[in-house]
Amino acid sequence: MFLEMESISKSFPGVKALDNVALRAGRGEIHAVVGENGAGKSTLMNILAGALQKDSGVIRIDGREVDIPDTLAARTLGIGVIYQNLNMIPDLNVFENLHLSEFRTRGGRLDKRAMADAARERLRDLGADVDPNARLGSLSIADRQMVAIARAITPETRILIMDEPTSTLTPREVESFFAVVRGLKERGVSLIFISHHLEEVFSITERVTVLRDGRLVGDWDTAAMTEEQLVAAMAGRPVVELFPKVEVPPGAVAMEVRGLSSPGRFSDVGFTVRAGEILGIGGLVGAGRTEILKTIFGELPKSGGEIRIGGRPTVIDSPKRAVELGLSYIPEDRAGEGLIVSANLIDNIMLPRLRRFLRGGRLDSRALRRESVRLSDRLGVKAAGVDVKAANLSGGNQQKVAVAKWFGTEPRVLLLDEPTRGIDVGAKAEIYKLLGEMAGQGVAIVMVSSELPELLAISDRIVVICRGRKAAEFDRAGATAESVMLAATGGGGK
Amino acid sequence: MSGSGRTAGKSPAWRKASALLGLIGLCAIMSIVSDKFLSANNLMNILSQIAVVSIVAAGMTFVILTGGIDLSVGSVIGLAGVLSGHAMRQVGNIPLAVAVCVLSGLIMGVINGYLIAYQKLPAFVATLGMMSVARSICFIITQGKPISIFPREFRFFGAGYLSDLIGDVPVVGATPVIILEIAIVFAVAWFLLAQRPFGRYIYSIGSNENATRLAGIDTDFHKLSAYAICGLLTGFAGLLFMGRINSAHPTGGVSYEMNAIAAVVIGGTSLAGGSGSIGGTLIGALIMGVISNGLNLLNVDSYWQGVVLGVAIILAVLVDIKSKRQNA
Repeated sequence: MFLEMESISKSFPGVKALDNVALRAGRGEIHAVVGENGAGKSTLMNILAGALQKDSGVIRIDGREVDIPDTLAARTLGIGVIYQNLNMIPDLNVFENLHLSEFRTRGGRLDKRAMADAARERLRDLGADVDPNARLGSLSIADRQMVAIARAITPETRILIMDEPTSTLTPREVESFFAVVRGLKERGVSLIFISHHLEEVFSITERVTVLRDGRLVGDWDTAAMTEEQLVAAMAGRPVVELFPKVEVPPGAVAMEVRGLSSPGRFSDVGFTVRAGEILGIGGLVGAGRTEILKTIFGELPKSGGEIRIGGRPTVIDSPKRAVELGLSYIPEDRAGEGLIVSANLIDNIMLPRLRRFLRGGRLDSRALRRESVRLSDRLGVKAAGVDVKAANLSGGNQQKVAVAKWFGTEPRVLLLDEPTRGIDVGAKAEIYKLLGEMAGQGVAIVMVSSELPELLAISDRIVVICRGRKAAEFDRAGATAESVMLAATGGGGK
Repeated sequence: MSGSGRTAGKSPAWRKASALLGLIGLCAIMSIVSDKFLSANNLMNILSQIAVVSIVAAGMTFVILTGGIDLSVGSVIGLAGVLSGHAMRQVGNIPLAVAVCVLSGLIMGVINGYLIAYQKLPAFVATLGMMSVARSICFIITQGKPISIFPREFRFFGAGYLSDLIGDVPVVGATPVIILEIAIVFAVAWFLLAQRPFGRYIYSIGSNENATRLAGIDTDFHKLSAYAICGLLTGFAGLLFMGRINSAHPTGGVSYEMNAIAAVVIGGTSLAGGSGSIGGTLIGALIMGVISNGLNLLNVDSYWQGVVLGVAIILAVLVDIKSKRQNA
C-alpha cells in the first residue's frame, strides 16, 4: 500500500475523536472516506495534513514511516489538501493565492510575471481556463475550486486530500472537476475524497473507508457495495427511509408573495404557501433564491411587490418585523448567520424569545434552561447538555438547534435555505421528520434546496427560479428531476 | 454570549478568576512591602483614584462587548466638563450644570452610536472623529483657559463625602461619595448585562451580529444603546473629574480612553466582542489603581508607571490567549 495510516488515535478534551483508526490507499487510487458528521473524517485528514497531531499510531508513505509535525512537512512529503471552505483570500488575485506560501522574488521584489506565468501553466495543466491576474473574489466557485486544486498540487504531490470538494458546484462543474481528478489519478496521485454525496462516491471512487463515532467500520471496494449497505455502515443501522414525508392536508394561505423584486437580484417573483404545506424552491446556485428568502425576511430591501401574511398586506423592513409577523428564517450559512457558534445552546435556542422569560424584571435563567432542555430533547439534539457551545456540535445537530430556536416561537411561516447542506444521511432524515412535524402543526414551510432528490421528495409543490425569475411551478405529482433541472437551467417550463 | 452570568462558558470564568487572582496577589505583595498599603485611608484613596476611569470603563465594557470601541471618551470627559462648567459660570444653577454634563455626554454617545449602527461607519473612525471634534470644541469654548473654582455643592459628586448626605455618622460619614457612585454604576451595569435581555443582545451582537439580527433582534438599536450608555457614563465621569480637580480644563480627560480600554481588557473582556464581564472591568480598574498606588508608596519615579501598566495589559491578554488555546 502506498499510504498506510495504522492504529491512529486522537483525543480532544472530553472527546475521543479517533480510536484506533486505519486508512490504506494505493498509488493512483481514488479513495472515499465517508461517515456521519462527527465520525472523525476531518480529524483523520487533518492529522495526515499536519494540521493536527496524532496521540498514537503510525503513518507510512511508500513503506517508510513518516512524521508530520506541521502542514509544511506534509507539503514536503507531497501531501496536498483542498479544504471545504477553500481557505483562500478573495482580495488577492489568482497567482498571488497560488503562491501564497512561496512568493517568488527577483532582486528583492515580487516577481509577478514569473508567478503569473507559473500560475497560468499550472491551471492549464488542470485544463482550467482561468486568468491568473483576475481577483479571486471575482471568479465563480468552480473556478476558485480549480485555483484551490492548482495550489494544492505541485509536481511533487503524491497524495491529495479533498474535503467535500463538490458541495458548492453545479452538476456540470462537478463533471469537469471529476475529469481533473481522473487526470491526477493518471499521474499516479492518490486521492482521498471526503464526501456526503453517495452517488459521487459510487461514480468516482474505487475504495471506500467508513468511519463511525471515531472508529473504523471497514474498508471495501466501492463497486462491491450497494448504496443501502454503505448507508447502513455509516449509520450503524439500516436507515429505513431516506426521505420521510408526512402528508398534511393544506390549510388556508399563510403567505402570499406577489411581484417581489429587488434590483440586480431577482424580479417579479410570486408564489403562495399554505399552512401545513412545504413549498420547495429549486434552481441553480446563484439564481437568486437565497436573496428571495432574505428579502421576504426583511434582511434585504425590496424595490417592488407585496407580501401578504394571513391575507393581510405587510411592510417588512427588518428581520425584527418579520419575526413579529410570525416569520422565521434558517439561513444556509449556519456558522455565519444561523447560529452564534461561540455561545451555548441555551443562548442560541432562546435568543428570539428572551423577553418572554422575564420575571420580576430579570431573566429567569432557570426557566430559560428548562425550556431549552425541553426543546433540545424534543428535537433530538445530541449534545452533552445545553451548556455546550454550538461550535462543538456536528452540522446535523447544529441544524437541529437552529430549528429548535424557531420551533419555540411557533411561527406561521418557516423559511429554510439549504436545510441539509453538509449534514449526514441519518441527520437529514431527522431534519425532514421535524419539518414534517412542523407542517403538521400548521406551519407553512418554504424550503430552498439545491439537492434534487430532497426537493422532489419533501416538497408538496416546487417553484423553480432561473436567473432571478420564476421559471416554473410544479405540483408534487408533476415534478420530475428532468423537468425541474430543465426549468432551472432555462431550458423550458411554462 | 458566554460570560453572561450563569450560562458562562468555561474560559471566561477562568479568566475572571485569573484577573481576580492577579488583584489579590498584587494586594498581598503590596501589603508585605508597604505597611501603609492596607490602611483604610489608602484603600479609599485607591478607590477615589480609579472612580473616573472605572465609570468610563463600565460604559466602555458595553461598547467593547458589541465588538466596538469608543476612542472619544477622553474628549467627552473634557467637553462635558467644559460645557457644564461654562453653564455653571453663566447661569449658576447647579442642577442645570449637572444635567448639562451628563446629557452632553449622552448626546455625544448617541451621535457615535448613530454613525456606527445606522450609517455603518467603523467604530474606530467614528469615535476618532468625535475625539478630535470634542477636544477642539473644548478649546474653542474656553479659549484654552480652565474654568475653575466651583461652589462646594457643585463639587459634591466628585469630591463630597457621605456626611454631606447623612450628617456626621462615625466612619461611614467619612466615606467619599465617589465610592457609592462606583458601586451604583457597576451594580446597574451588571443588572443590565447579566439579568436583562438587553445584555444578552449585547453579547450576541459581539459574537455574531448577523445571526443576532436574523433572530429578529434590532441589532442597530442595541448597538446605538451601547454607545449611548458609554456616553452617558462618560458625561457622569466628567462631572466627577471636574469635582475632584475643582476645574473644567480644556485638556481634561486626555488619554482616559486608553486607561478605560486597558481596564476593560485587563478585566478579561475580549476586544473582538462577545465575551467578558462587567465585574472583570471593575477588577481591571482596581488592578490599575493598585499598581499606580503601589508605585507611589514605593517612591518609584512616576515616569515608570506607563511601563508597568503596559506590561500588565500585555500580560493579561497573553494569559487570556494561552488559556483559550488550552481550552480549544
